[in-house]
Amino acid sequence: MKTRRIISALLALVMLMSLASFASAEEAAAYTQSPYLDGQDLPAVAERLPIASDVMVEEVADIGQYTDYITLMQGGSSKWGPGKPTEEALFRFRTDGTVEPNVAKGYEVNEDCTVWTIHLREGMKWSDGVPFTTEDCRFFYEDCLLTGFTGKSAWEAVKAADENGEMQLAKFEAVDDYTFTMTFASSKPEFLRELAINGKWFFAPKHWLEEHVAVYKDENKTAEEKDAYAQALGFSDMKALGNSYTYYYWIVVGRPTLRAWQIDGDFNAEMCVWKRNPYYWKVDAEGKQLPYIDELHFRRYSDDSQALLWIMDGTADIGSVALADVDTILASDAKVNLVEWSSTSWTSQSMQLNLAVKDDLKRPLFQNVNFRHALSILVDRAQIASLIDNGYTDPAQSAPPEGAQGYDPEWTKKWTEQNPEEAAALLEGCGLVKGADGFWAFADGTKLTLNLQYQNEADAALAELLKNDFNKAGLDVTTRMYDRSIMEEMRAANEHEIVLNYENFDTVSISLRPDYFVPLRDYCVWGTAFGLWYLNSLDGKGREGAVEPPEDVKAMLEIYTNMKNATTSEQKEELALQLLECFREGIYEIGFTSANPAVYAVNSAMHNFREDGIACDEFRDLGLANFACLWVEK
Amino acid sequence: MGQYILKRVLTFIPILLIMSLVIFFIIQLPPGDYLTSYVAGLKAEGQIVDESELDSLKERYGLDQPWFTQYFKWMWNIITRFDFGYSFKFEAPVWSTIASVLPMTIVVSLVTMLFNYLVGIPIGIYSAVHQYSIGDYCFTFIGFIGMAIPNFLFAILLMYGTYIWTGTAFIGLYTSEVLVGLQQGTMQWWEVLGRGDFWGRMAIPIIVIGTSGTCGTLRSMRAQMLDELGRNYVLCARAKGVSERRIVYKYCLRAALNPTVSGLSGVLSHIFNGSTISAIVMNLQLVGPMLYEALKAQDMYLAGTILLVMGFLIVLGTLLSDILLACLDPRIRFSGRRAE
Repeated sequence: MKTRRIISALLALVMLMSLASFASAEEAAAYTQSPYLDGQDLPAVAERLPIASDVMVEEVADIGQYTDYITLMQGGSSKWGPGKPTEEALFRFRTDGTVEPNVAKGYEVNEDCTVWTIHLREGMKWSDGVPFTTEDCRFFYEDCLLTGFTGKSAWEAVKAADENGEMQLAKFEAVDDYTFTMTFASSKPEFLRELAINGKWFFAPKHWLEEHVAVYKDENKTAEEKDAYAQALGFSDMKALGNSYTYYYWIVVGRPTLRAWQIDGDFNAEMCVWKRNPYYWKVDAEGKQLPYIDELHFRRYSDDSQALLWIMDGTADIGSVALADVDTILASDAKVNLVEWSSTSWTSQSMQLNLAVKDDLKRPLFQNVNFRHALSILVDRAQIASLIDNGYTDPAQSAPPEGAQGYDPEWTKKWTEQNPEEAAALLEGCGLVKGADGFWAFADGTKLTLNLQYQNEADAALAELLKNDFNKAGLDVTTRMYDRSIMEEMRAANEHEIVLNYENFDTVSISLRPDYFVPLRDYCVWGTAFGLWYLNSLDGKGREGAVEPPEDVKAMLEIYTNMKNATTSEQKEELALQLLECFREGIYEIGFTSANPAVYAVNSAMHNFREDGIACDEFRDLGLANFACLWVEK
Repeated sequence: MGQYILKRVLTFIPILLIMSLVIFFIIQLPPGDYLTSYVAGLKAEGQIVDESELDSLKERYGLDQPWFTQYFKWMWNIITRFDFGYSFKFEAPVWSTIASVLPMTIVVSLVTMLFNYLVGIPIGIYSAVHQYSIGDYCFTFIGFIGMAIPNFLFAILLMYGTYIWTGTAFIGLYTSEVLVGLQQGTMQWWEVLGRGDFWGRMAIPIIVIGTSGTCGTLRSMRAQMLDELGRNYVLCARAKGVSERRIVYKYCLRAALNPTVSGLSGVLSHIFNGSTISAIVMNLQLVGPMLYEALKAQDMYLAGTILLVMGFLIVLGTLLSDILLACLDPRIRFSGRRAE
């Protein structure tokens, strides 16, 4: 905790210093550019940047040299692989969970948090040199997001409840070319943080997109005509076009961007080259236009062993490393630094019981908190930490990690002491009886069998260790691996029972990202069918398979509803802590070990790669490394 | 002969139709559909997909319709417009998705196949003619090792070996420089074939994919030759003073090639498909790994098309190998004539 405070103090200092450097940059205004751009037909660098007072000056530890390229690795087809490291949001997260202006220059908010005024940077340009203004924000919000062109529903970030409790969309108003306001029906204290999470970008190049949007909105055209239009551009239909151009837009070749690099070639190719944006709007303290790196090369691999070899032979400059491979890299003569980032995960090895399980005998049993207590104290956690996590983690309960909202050292120790005698008493208290065969059974004599289900081969070891511990205590256990899609289908049909390492609890803040914790829809695995019940209770649609939750879960859902409608940050925080208390009481995810750190192998000649990062989706994972400031010493 | 070929070609059509139906049905068999795996992927990345989005995606992909409706639509577009549909996963028309990996697939398959026959057949003959010699034992030993080592393991070992020996792991067929060139369009795939580094890297797939096939060819060639060498006509030919070389190459080899030639029926499909698991391990972007990805994601139009083309090539390959066999083996020709 202390270190976090120090870090925040340091950050504040850095911010102050950067403010000071704003002034110096204004005076100097002698901007320089990468030699990569020399000879290209471009206006002078000062003309490409925003006006001097609005240029963003990144405070970097080491002022850099321009670097021709770095190689990164891309496994699978996730568009977020290159998406996150290159992302530019209106507001971006700091590691303390607060946000700072990025694409936006700043903001103001009125007293009751209903009107947010956002300032943009004057003179900022898209990568094709066209000015970036509030009209691009309005266009994205009104013409792309609210019309459904993006293929996504409008984010929670732009909704607030009116006096009748109905969710209303915020009203966009452009004040001038560089200022706009968002007006909410009620107080929206967390607007910026919510925007930083699910409305990461709030702008689109109108000049490039408007003809496509016009076709999409054209009421005189039939759906077939619109699809034919999209097919001519290489898409299956109009919706695919919209989703691609405005949501996964960073992999669209030729689309103007505000990012530091722009894709130049097929995303699915074996190698994908990203080239620097000549109009990028950030500089370092010496006035060098960022990014330092001219090109990003994303190289595709199909098997994890290839990624490991590329790290070892120096092909890749940055790569994520599995804990099991750390020793291999240390033993090799790879010229890399291993950087450990902490994680916001609650645990690295977990088990979740489906509290809404179909079996009528098991359902009340799983809902009984004493049963979960008994299972938790039957497990030898030290063994799991040493055998599965190679000693990188400690025995622990699933709980918010140090530094996160709701952290409490007592919670991390709750129900972690192995105690078979106490467990036996608890099981008896749950109405189970031990049969002549030495196995626990229900009161009516039906044998109790726990079905452990998992989807990764790596979890087979955990399943076997748990089976061993449970068997010793007289609990019958089966273990089985399922393909991910089958597991997903089982979850949707409420056919899962006890799942291992399936969407472990992981968030910076439960109030910003409650979906995997609280059964709001069919998301959270410990109560998928409760989520359906909750949805039904909201809109009365009567979805099939809904299961009414027990009282403790209903109480949790009520706290969530209040939290969503809270009008001040303090209220939200207070309710979030109450919500966390529910998790502490109920232990809906039984954790066995503390969270794993995220390990990155970074070329040892690379500068400015931060060592104090936190790997989580909200902070954009590797994107937190601020790629525009990285450079490699040659 | 002409009538026979025509008859065979005509029977293609119902066979292919039935095959496509079975393929489509089987792809749809596992629970869930493309959306299940798509949404699972999004969730793994921390994205939220709500109900209305899911419904609209279902409608967009036509997944809300029963599978046979989807099948007939797909077939209808293939027959009327030669349109194989749209790959969900790669977000591009199926045919262009396959075409992007097809040239290299054919190159890799042809090269490994050539290696297979050029090495397997002569060694098989040598081993048969010099049965129980030291050479025979050596080749047999190597042959068994080649057959016994799983391809994927062999590939990993060789890749690791190249890292240890050269400092650079030979992963995939191209160096970074070539890949950038290919992606930026400053280099075409056929230009790559003239590069030394390409063939250096090609050695691994040849050794890995080639050895197991080669060892199979070698063993069957040796057995067949031994069979033939013991026949009475060989004894007779020897008695008449025919040279040993003539006996082996003109008579025995021709007869011994029969199983190898009938094995050609699967070759066409193999050229198209390549080796799947080894290709994944070696990071070769070929049709095989693409099929694997498509099946995993239940991207049914892409998987269906690849399987359909493979099926077509197997049927075609069978026909070609039958014709070849008839040319090669007079007994088959004569038996056909006798029946007439």
